[in-house]
Amino acid sequence: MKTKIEIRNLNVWFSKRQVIYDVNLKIPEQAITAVIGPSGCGKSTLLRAINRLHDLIPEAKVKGEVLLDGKDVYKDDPLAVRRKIGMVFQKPVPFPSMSIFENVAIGVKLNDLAKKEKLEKIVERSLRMAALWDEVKDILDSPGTSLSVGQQQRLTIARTLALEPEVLLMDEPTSALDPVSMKKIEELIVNLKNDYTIVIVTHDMRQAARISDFTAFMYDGKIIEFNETSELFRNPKEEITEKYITGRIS
Amino acid sequence: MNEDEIFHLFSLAVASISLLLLALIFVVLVQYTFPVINKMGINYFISTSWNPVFGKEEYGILPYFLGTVLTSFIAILVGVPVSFGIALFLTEYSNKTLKNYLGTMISLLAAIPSVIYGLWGFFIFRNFILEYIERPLYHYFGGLSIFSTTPTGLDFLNGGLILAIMIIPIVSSITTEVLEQVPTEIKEGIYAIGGSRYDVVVHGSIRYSKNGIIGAILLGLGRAIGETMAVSMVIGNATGENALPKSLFSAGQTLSSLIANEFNEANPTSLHPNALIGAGLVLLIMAVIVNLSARMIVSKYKR
Amino acid sequence: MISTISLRVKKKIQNTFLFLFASLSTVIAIIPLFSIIFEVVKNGIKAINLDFFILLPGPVGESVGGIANAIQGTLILVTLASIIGIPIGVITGIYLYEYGREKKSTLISFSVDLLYDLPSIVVGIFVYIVVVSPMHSFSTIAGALALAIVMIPIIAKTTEESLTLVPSTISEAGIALGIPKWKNIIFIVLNSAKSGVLNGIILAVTRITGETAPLIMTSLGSTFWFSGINKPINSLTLLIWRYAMQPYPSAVEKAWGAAFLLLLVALALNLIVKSGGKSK
Repeated sequence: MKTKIEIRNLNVWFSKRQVIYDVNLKIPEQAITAVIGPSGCGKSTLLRAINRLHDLIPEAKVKGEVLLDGKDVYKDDPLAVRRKIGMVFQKPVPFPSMSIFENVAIGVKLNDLAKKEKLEKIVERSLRMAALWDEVKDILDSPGTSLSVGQQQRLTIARTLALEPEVLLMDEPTSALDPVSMKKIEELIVNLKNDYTIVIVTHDMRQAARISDFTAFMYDGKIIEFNETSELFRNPKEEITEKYITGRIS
Repeated sequence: MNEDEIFHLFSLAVASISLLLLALIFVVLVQYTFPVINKMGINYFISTSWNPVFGKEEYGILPYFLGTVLTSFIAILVGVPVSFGIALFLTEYSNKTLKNYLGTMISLLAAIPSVIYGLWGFFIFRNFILEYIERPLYHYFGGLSIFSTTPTGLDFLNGGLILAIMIIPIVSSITTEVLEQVPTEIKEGIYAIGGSRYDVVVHGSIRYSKNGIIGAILLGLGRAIGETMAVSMVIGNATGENALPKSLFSAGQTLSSLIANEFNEANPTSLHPNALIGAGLVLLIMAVIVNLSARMIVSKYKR
Repeated sequence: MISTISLRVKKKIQNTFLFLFASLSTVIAIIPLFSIIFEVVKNGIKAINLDFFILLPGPVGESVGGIANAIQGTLILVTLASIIGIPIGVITGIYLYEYGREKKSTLISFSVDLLYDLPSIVVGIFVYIVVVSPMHSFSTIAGALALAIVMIPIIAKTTEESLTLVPSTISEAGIALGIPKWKNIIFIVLNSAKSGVLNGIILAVTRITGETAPLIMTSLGSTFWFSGINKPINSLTLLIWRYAMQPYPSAVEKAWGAAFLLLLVALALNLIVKSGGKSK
């Protein structure tokens, strides 16, 4: 399988505290890679290093390389990187005071990526891919915040897809949702893998087992083990991995 | 330079306008005050004479400075207890709905333009205080020097009381905020040892929120010092020696009312405008000192 | 036994005293509010008729004419001041929010605070010196500038506050879409804080609509229609101030009428802000 993202010797500090230690990881193309680990182990920090979100925090320092198709994102234009590597957050954040339509179109609009006439098509396509079109096609002018939380999360996924990214980063995308919405999003993620490379951070091991092809286990800022998901869960090589997946540490 | 850096510089340039204005205001006022201080010397601050007539020009702002101090003092003396009472009523005796309505009503006092306070003070409030406060006090206590002038209703007392009303919204709203921050544990602690509501307020809330309340009072004082229009309409507009506060019922003038009343009559070729600008400079310095201390206390408290 | 009873009585008296103090204070503060509204409506409504809205003030002392030029003047002054003051205020607020970490911004934030605290008559004096004096004429533009200076710190502070209230997740979500920082601030964060910013603007407009002091030595007032931004102009507030002190009942009546109009606008705008603040 082809590698889409390669992380090399990645270290991250906040002020003087180091949170990521020498991470090396090859994320395969058109597959779902899950990052699991106890809370505070640095999995969200790792994810944010991939699309350079740490640039915003003056105290954060990143060292190492993140290669997207062989090219270091830290030597590229950060805006272009973020367009190619989309991100979905834990809590859905529809932009208040924007309609459903605007919420999906805004990224395309503000990046000057498409003419007005094309916007409608892009919005429809994105909402279809996010499996939300049928539910909102008649209420595109209603505020994005009027949707249910589960729908809002699919809305933010549609918003990300509208930019036609190559990679989707998902930071615990279902942890704020009810079980029914969670199931919908999981199905959606599995469908999306045909077109995208997906990295999902989750604290829910069963979710990782259900939807991912590969799993990385992180502990204390280090990648302890990385393998095909079925292999990692059935046959953990490290003791600490086994302890985690059997629930003896959390 | 990328577009973000351009935006950064652009917003910095626009934001610097405030800094520039402030500096300019100060420099220009000092510059225009200089000629009158040059002529009057220290007398500009300690003399009571005021004569704009050409050839006999004399300017001393002491009476107006004292007028500002006296009216602000009355405003604090009357306005602060009332504001504190309101804050108590809102925090201790009101449910959410009542608090909401009363809070809105009190804040409407702040929405009324100052010139309307002046209009009301000149035609309505004047008669009220003349009839029910000044004449009785003069009648029974006229021997006391603070009540010794024949009352007219257009005097320091009217100015001070109008200011008291005008500072109520700000003082009461900040005091309410401060009282709301008193931790429930402190209140419950006093109730738990058999304290009454009175004990809770006096020994708990007030002690705990002392600094915040002082900050609120200073903010009220800042408002009172700078207020112009209402006072200019009700204070009687005396000048010179006559403007010295002789009693609560004597006509007077504050620094700001002096400027409002005389600025357009001042001959630009005389020192009269400079004398008035100097009054503005003193006003500016007073307001800045009071508001700065208020801000420091309130912000420290909020943290 | 006796001492417990007397203690109970003492506490009862204290509590009653506290309640009376609190409720009386509240009543004392509300009486002027109602008295002002009542008197302004009662005396003002008498002055209101068609002439009042469409005619220039008649000769002093005669009970003819209206206050049309004062209405026009207030509208023009407030509009001009807003055109100058709103953009400067909003951008200053954005700067303080976005670059608040910089050293320079502490100084700017401090100046905005002090500007906010300045007695408005001092602003009037300043504009007199730098605009009126060199132009050798009181003018509309001088009045508008003075009002704009009064507006700027109010809008800057409320804008900054409203932006601070926007959750950081929203700004982050915008950044994650690859949107340039400045576009993100304006089209995502500021857009999310729209209602708060708007409230601040209305607040500032209310405030300058009722301002008198800085206009005395800048726009001066006038008995004619607006005739150019380099000429004096009337305003509702200046008219109230001047007419109230005149010995003619007809002038006083016009002052009350103008006060009625002004109060109506001020209270209405204020209640809009209040209800807007609640719906958030």
